[in-house]
Amino acid sequence: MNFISVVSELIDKPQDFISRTKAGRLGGAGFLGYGLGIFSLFVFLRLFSVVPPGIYSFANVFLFVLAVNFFLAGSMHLFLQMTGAEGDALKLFLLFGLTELFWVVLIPLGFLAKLDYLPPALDCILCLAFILVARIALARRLYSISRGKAFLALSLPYAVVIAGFFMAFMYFMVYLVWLVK
Amino acid sequence: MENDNLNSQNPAGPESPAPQPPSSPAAQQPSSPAAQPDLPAGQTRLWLKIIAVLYAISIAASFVVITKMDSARKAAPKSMDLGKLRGLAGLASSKKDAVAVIPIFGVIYQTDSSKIWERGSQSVVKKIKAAAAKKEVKAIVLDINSPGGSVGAVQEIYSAVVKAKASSKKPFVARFGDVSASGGYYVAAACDSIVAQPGTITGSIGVVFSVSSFAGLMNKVGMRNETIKSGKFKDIGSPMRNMTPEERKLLQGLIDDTYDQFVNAVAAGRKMPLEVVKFLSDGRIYTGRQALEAKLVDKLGDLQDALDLAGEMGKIGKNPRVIRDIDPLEQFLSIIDSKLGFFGGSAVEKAFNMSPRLEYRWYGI
Repeated sequence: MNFISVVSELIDKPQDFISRTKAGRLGGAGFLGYGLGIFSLFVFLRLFSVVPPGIYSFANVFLFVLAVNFFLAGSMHLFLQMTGAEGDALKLFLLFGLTELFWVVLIPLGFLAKLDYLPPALDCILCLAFILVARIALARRLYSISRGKAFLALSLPYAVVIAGFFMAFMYFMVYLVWLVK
Repeated sequence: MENDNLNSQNPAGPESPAPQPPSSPAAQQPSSPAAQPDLPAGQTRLWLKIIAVLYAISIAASFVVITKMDSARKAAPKSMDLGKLRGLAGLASSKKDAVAVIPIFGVIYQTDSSKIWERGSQSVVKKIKAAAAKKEVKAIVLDINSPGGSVGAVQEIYSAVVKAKASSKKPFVARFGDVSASGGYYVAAACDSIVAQPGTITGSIGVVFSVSSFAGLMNKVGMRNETIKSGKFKDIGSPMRNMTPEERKLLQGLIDDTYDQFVNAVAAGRKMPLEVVKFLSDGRIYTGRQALEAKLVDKLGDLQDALDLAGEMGKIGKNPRVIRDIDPLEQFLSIIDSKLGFFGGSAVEKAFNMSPRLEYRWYGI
């Protein structure tokens, strides 16, 4: 099954596709999704000179996004397992890879941003919102859960990371005040 | 297996997906959108192919844009990039002419070289060299508020100012705050002009070597120190015994020589006759106004006056742009070190500072 067939089937019959497709069969498509998505993100970042050029720079971004997704898929699966839902963690991770394809929209949006029609940050937020919605849609089918629970499971790791960041930030500010006082 | 899971875990509720029959893929067909097996899939594939082509075109266009941007950046003068780096380092990124202000506060010592954030004489020398090397810096103000310090450290800064003046031809102005005595004045003597407040304490031109003797105390408590030495002067300055007349004579020779260096430096820097400087250099302190009368300073005024003078000497006029050469990282590490006493360095340094040494220092504060 080629990549376009996988994506078109996922778009047309997501429930059917997720139920009957084995994780092994999704592997190539999932990783190609990661590859294309992260490559688009990298090109977008290069357009705005946020990251340096070169294969090592791309590898950095690629591995970072892969690691984040691995963490998100793992923690989401763990949370869902703990609350009684059953599903396949590997399949979830690979489906996340397919949702990464939404980053390809960043390229045309990047041109618009270059022409000052859109702020670059808004482009990223837009794509991220699409990705999150797609992930909720896929996760609720994979684990047979409600949309609300899928949203909760997906947002929980984000919430933990953001809360951790703000706690660290607040502590750092207090520490700085203590230092200069 | 997955389908079994789906069926067993399917929650009730309007939002949950429709239950799937536990059968083969073919049997699932009715639950998915029915009666659209070929056409929609074909349409989706067609759209995906169109998107793929558009994506390939946009990627190619992106590469063209990125390549042009990179080549434009490479073709740009390198000073532009360096300007960005300077901006990060606390110096302004603009190329507009400016006066650099280098603070010399507190007792001047050579500090632990393993700590880059230590504000010793090395740090001041580094800043003087950096400011002299910058094209946009047209004059340098040394903002001195120091009672002096160890001879070596003071002479290191003095030497750096003399060399920087010779190599860069930039004017140096010394500005005195509360106190700029002894070693603080030694450093200022190398500058082209000195601006002091009327009430600034300055002068104290001279050298001091002090050592405490615990011999009497040790005798009282019945403690004795045994020293094995290679020569009779090897433990000169030891606090464990009283100083001998021979040692006193030898140390006086050292004091006289370093005093001579101080007087010569002031005479050379201030372009004053040696005899006049010697007459003024009995170790006494002067107020800024007295020092002006004695021609030890050139002008009375505050920091702004010093900046204006530096601006005029650097031919950029009064009220010049000021670059305060403060390294934020160095300052931050210094604050952390002083607060937490990392590595116990401050305690060691304080203990080290207690040892006898030759100093261009005024002990009034």
